[in-house]
Amino acid sequence: MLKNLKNFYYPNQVKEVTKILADHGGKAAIVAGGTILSRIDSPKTEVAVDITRCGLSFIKEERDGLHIGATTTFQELYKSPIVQQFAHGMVSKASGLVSTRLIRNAGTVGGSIVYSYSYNNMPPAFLALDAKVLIVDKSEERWVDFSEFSKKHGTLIVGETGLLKEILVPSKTKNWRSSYLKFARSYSDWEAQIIVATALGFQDETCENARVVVGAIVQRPVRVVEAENEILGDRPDTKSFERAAEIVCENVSPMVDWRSSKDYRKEVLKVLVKRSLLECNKF
Amino acid sequence: MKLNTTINGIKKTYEIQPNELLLDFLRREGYWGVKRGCETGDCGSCTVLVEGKAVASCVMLAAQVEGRSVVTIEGLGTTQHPHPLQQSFVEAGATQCGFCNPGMIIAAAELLTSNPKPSQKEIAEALDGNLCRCTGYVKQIEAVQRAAEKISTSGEKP
Amino acid sequence: MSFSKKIPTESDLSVVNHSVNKVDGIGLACGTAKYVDDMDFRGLLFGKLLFSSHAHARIKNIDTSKAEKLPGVKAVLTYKDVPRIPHTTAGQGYPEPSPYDTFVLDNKVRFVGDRVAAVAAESREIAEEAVRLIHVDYEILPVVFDQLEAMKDGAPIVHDEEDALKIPDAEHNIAAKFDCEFHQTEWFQKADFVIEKEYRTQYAQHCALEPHVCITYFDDQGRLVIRSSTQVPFHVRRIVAQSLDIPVKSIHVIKPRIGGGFGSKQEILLEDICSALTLKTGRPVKIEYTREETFVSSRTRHPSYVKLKTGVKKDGTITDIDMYIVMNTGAYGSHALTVMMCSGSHTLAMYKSKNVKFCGRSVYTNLPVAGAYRGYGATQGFFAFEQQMNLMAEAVGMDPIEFRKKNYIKEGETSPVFKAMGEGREGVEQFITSCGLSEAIEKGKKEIDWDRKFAEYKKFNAGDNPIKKGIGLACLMQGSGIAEVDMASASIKLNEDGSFNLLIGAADLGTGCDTIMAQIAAEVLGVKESDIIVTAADTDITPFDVGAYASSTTYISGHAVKKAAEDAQRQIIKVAAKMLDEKEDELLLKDKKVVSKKTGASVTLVDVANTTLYYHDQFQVIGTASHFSHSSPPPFSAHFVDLEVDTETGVVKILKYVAAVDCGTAINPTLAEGQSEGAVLNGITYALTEEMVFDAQGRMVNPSFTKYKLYSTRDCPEIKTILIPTYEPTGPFGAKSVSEISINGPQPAIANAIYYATGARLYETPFTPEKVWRAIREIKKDNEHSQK
Repeated sequence: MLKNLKNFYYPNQVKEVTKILADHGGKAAIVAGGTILSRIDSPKTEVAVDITRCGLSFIKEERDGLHIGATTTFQELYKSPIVQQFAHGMVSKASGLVSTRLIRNAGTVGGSIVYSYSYNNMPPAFLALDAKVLIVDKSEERWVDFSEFSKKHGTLIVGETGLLKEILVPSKTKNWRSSYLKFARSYSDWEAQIIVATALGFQDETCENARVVVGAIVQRPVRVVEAENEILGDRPDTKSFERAAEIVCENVSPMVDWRSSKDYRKEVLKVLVKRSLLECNKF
Repeated sequence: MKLNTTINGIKKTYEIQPNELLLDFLRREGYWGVKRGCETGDCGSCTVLVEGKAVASCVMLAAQVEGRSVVTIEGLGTTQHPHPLQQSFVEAGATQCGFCNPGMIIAAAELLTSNPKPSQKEIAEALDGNLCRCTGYVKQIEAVQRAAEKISTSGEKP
Repeated sequence: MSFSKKIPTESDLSVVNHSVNKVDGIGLACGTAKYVDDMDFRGLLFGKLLFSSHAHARIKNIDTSKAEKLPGVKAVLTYKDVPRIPHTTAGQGYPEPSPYDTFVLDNKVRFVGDRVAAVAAESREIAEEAVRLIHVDYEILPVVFDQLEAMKDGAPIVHDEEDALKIPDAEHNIAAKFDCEFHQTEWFQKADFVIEKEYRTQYAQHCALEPHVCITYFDDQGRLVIRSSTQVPFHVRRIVAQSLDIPVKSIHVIKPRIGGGFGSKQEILLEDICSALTLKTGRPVKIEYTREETFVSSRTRHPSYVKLKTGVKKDGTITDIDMYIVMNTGAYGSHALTVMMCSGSHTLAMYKSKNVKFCGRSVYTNLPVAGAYRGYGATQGFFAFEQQMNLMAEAVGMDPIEFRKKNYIKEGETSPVFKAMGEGREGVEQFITSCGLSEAIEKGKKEIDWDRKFAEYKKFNAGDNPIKKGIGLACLMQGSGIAEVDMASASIKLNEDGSFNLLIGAADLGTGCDTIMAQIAAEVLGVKESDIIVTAADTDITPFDVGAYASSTTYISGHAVKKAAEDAQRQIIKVAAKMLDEKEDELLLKDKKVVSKKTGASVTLVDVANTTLYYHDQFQVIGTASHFSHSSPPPFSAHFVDLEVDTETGVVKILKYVAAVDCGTAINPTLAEGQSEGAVLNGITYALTEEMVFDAQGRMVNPSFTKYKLYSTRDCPEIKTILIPTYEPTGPFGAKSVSEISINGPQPAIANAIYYATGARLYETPFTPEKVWRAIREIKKDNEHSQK
């Protein structure tokens, strides 16, 4: 485990972090909660940069939306009243379902999206809420749509010298109704088999925004726009949710492992999408 | 490398390996109450408080506690002066093999600090990272409730 | 037959039947209790094993030269370096009923995870690196994983070595076999209904939180000390002596605090090889399994195939029981015979039938080794039997509870099964001398609210909610030790302050037996449990005990303690009689005094101790006794479960679980409840989530707690335990066993409840959502078909 790790840095500012990263090329690894880094075998890592002293643990609501610092822990997100009220609490709910309290206390939201394991809880939630992420690389900052970010492995987007600084959940989603369902063998199962995150934005009786996102069952979480289109418009009903669920199943090819078969996962996926949408529905 | 940290209230500088797990470091220093059960962050036998938060020391590097405070089970109470949680675990029959106890008691200590009167559901949520194979958790949840009562009636600090 | 009965109440007893605190509790809760690895050893070497990556192969060549050259490596052992002595790793009484099919190291590997070589080095990292540097040339052999396949002609032979002993039929991979039959009428002639079903259970592991660990070293006289996480210290001493060909007298086994066992540590798993490394290097050596190693290379529960054919009359009388069981013992036959026999002996004796037949096989395959696991075969047997009970009740149109009541064995009754089936040999005839099952059923029913739910759920399930509700039950029994096999002993001596040292061979592995033994001794000697200082399970210091298994400790070891305490009591009274000038039979021990019933005069234990140690006719008051039993009185239990099934996903959610347990007198009610509760939760996850899964090469694909799922507090349903007091005349203070029985309930109770909820019956464990979902789909298909 990390057998070539020689040095630890404890910078207090983001610009120090990016400098250390730039100085060490690909040999530096960022550590926040440590729950992932301590478990992986990364012989190329010679330097660790602990970013938990850089002021990146914050949750604040501003005009443009909900800002979440990269080193905010899952437990902080789960328990934050601001997050609990934003977009029907989707981000809070997703964080509360991350593994166990011990991991929620240590693990950070940044880690869970940069190391993009298929079963990670947060990406489907952020994808469903049109989130953006702020990346800083060699003192240059840029916002990236989470939809772009989540298409590839997070570390590729951040790059060897880049740092994920914060996540923005846009204000337009604040009043969206949402649902987040995790299908796993137990509450604390780190490795969900299926995640369904849905969100519906209503203007009076009309559903103006719909998001149907599927995670865990696929390598990277996906939005199924065709399914969303079924729901948009006046007073979506159970029938439209059923059609949407069918479309999701037609569009998603489940990954399979020893835990369950493909046809079973498809059936459950269909059930979960329908249930998730029913949970979001206003009517 | 050097590590400056406060363990159970004692501030010291230690020599560690940069890749050393917090669990290995603590056991090497004689904090035997921190147990090794899985090394994947799943069982919670190695739970300690870092800055007051219960974490699994097997999925954390020792170097991460630089400048921070660590509390192990040894720092909570002693056999002569046990913490109300330790006393309650014994009284409620929540200690069977005891291997999970240090971790679970530490996790419960964090809970009681922030929530002195937790419901059964809140206790279950706070202890969900601490596996126990002996008890079925019934008596352990009861023990935490019992300790909460003890603390509230005696005015002791958790 | 009639027996004198007296169910003790708290007022009769001052320590026994009271929920006193565990004597070792505070050290455990404060983290100061010392487990095997909680000690520093100067010059400690780290042992590491090289495991086979093939399921079946012969070692053609093994090159250890690179590993040996690595700085810091102190020893590398292969089969060439250790004695080749066939033995069993099962920690059982001698001669063990298990085949001698194991060698410390062998030139053949039989499962992925089998031992190939052992290394001792200055650090864990060096030892790991050394293991990687060992080069092995394998001749890959064909494999067999399924126990039914393995019995067929032409299947790969797992044990083809010529020097193995006691294998009944190596050519057909039969590691153990047992058949018996008794019938009073023609088979199935009296039956109105004959039901035949097949059941299968999965590979599962104990998951004691403390992984297997052992430290060996030489003491100051050059004797080998083995500090081990074991349930069977005396068997460890004997089997290490046997397998390494060293005398018993040169071995000292110490069992410190143990982090759970559940049967996994009734096994000589690391002690032999760790000792071999110390013998080779002269240094202290530690081998500590990681969780992954524990999964891959320790012991498991036997997967089973059960075919049960039963006959029943319209009036609900069971006429015939024909049980055929084939267990997968994996690559070695540790516990192969006895676990298989217990699957029949505990189930078949529970219900009366004129015709009974049992045919059992334990079969070698190229998968991990099955061993002892809480329930010990009864678990697999009851999974089949308690579903079959419901099937029979349904066939004759009887309520499943009434059907059980009609058929289960009652007090004063016997079963020919007791005599026919012991553990590994013929058993002992016995009559049931205590049975609280009827009360257990009634109290359990009430607690789960059976009658109301039974009616209401039917109505609820007729609606179109995809969630269906179900309730189910199972009735169970187990044994209390092995009749005329298990033996325990104890010594107890008086100190100046009226306290006692209690020396017992019994091994507390978290079960609370140190406390139970202290309570029993304290009750006899009129002191508090805190006046009893327990020293246990040290082969140099404490007298013999077979160890912690077969639900024997309270019943057998507890009885030995009671007798030893009574021995000490007699000695004390004799001295006190002289001191008080009273008759011995008028004296009793109470409140740390010897008191005259007649005059009320008394002397303190302190006075007695000082007299015997210092003043007059000096001697040490020391009581010693041994105990074995002619019977193994069964505890009984009724289990009830209330659950929901999501028929669209197959997810089963347990809402409430009730276990009503007759364990005789509960020596410590809180600890007895804890035993049952732990067993219940273990049983629930064994029913729902736990499964060791293997790929086509026989490699376990989920060897971690991340992938092998136990329930946490958040998943846990409400569990309610009801202790049913009975008095077992052959047990200490009326006690029977409690530790194993409750693990047998959840699988059949949950299966019965799922059937109630959905009409789908599950014959194969675990009931994963997908399996439940498929079973429900099959039912729907059948219904649609029949409607057409």
